[in-house]
Amino acid sequence: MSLTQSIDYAAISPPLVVVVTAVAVLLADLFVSAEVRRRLLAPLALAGTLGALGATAWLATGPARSTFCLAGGGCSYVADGFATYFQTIVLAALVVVLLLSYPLFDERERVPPGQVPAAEFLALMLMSVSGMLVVAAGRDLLTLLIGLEVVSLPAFVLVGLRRGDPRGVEAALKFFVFSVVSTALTIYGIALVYGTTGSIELHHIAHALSTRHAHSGAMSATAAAGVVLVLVGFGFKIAAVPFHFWAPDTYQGAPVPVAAFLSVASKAAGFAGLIVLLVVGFRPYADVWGPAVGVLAAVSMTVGNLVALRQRNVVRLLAWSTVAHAGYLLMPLAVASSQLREGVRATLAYLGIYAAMNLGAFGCAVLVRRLHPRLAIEDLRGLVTRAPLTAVAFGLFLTALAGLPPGVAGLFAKVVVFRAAVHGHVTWLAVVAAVNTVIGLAYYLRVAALMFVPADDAPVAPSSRTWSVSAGVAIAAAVTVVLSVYPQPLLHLASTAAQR
Amino acid sequence: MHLSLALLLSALLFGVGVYGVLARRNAIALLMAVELMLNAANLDLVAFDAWFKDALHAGQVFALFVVVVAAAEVGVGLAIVLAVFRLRQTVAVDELRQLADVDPVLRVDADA
Repeated sequence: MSLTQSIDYAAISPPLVVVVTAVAVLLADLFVSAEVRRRLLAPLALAGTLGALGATAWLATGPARSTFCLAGGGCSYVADGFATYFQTIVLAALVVVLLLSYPLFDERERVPPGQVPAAEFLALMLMSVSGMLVVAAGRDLLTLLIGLEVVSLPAFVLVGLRRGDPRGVEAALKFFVFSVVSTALTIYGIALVYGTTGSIELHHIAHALSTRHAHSGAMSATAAAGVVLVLVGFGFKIAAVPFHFWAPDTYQGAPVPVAAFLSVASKAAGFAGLIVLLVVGFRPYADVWGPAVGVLAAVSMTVGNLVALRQRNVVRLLAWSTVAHAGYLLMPLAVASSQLREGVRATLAYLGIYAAMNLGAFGCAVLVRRLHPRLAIEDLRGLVTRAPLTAVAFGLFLTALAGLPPGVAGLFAKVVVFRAAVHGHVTWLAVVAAVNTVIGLAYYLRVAALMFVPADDAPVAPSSRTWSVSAGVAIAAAVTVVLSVYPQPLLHLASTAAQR
Repeated sequence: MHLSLALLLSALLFGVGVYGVLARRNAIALLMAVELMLNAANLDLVAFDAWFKDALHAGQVFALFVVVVAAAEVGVGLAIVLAVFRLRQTVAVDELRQLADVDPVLRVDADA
C-alpha cells in the first residue's frame, strides 16, 4: 500500500482559505500595535471569507471534485453541487455576521466588560465556519463527526466570550453540556452502525444496511438503534424538538451576532450533515427514520410556535421561531422514499431563503439593542418614529418569516415545502404545518404591528459605530427583496444541488 | 475473547455514563460522565474492528479521533466551567437560572 496520498487542493480550497485566514488573524494580533489591530483584523477576516466564497463559486461552476478517496472506491470529501450550495450559504452568512459583530470588537489589551477580544472572536468564528464547510462536503462518518466538532468547539467559546457577562457563560455552559452529551450519543450510534456494516464510508454503509435490513433480527435492530442515535446528534445541531432546550437560553445569553451565526450557519451545517446521512448512508432504513423525522418536524414547529407566542424578549422570540423553522425545514425530508429528491430540493430552497430573512431579523435585533438594551418586545412600541429604517427592515423580515407580503420570499419558501410534503404523501404533516403557519402569524404580526404604533418620541440619530451593522442588515434585506420578486435562480440552484 | 463480552462491558459503561449525566448536578462530574459515554463508544469501535479484522482499521482510527475529540471537549469545557465559577461562585448546573422560560413577565423585569 502506498504511504502517500494525493490531495486535490482545489477541492478543499474553501475550508483551507478559511483556516489559513484564522491563523493569519491570530498571528497578526500578536505582531501589530493596538491602533493597527482594529483597522486590520476584521477586514482581513472579511477578505478571507470573500476569498473562500470566490473559491466556492469557482468550484460550483466546474465539475464535481472529490479527494481523500479509498482504493476500493468512495471518497471522504466531495465538492459537488450539494456541498458548494451549503458552503455558499454558510460563507455568505459569515460575511453578514462579521458585519453585525464589528461594534463588539475591542482591540485593547484589557478588554472592557461587554466587549469581546477581536482576534479571538474572528479566529474562532472562522474556525467554526471551516468545520461547517467540511461537514457540507464530508461523505464518511468520521469526516462528518470531526467537522461537526470543529463547528461546535469554537462556538461554545464564542457564546461566552463577552467579558464579565454572567449570562454569557451560563449560556455557554448550557450549550456545551447539551452538545457534548448529544455528541457522545452520536459516537455510540456510529459505533453501532460500524459494528453492523463494517464501514464508516456512507456508500458502503448504504449497501451493507440494505442487506442487513432484508434479514430482520438482532443485527437489523442494532443498526436501527445506531441510526436513531446518530440522528440525535444532528437533531441537537439543528435545534429540533426535543433536542432544542439549549437554543433559547444560548441565543439570549450569547452576543446577538453569535446567536444569528448559530441560528443560520450552524443550522445549515447540521442540515447538510443530516441530509447526506439520511439520503446517502441510511437510505435503506427510510422506513425507520422517515416517520421519526416527520414526528420531529411536527413537534418542532408546534412547540416552537406555541412557546414563541408567550415570549417577552425579542431574541428569545426569534430563538423559538428558529426552532419552529427547523420543523418546516425537516418536513420535506419525511416524504416517501421515491419522492426524496424533491424533498431535499425543497429543504435546500427553504434554507437559502431562511438564511437571508433570519440573519436580517437578528441584525435588526442588534440595531434595536443599541436603543433598548433589554430587548423587551414592549420596548419596540413606536420604533418607527425613533428608527424608521430599522423598523421598516425588521417589519420586512418578520413578515417574511411569517410568510406574508411584503416579505414574499418567505411565502415562496413555505409553498415549496408544502408542495413537497403533499406530493410526498405526508399530507397530515402539511396540515400540521398549515395550522402552525397561522399560529406563527399571531406572534410575528404582533411584533411587527407594535413597531408601527405611532409614538411622539424624537428620532434617534444613528450611531457611527453601527454603520457595519446597517450594512449587514442592508445586504440581508436586499437578498430577501430579490428573492421575493425573482426566486427562480435559487430554486434552480437548489434543484441542481439535489441532483445526486 | 468473545465479542459479546466487550459489547456488554461497553453497554454497561455507557449506561453508567448516561445515569451520571442525568443524575449529577456538578458540571465537573457531568463532564466525567460524558467521558464514560465516549469511552464506551471507543470500546465498541475497537472491539468491532478486531472482530471484523478490518484491513483499513477504521474502528481503531475512529477511536483515536474520539480520544482527541474528548480531550478538546474537556479543554474547552473546563475553561467554561472556570469562567462560570469566577462569575457565579457555583458549578452546579441546576443553579444557573438567569436565562430561563420560567416566568416571562418577571424575566423582562429582571433584565433591566
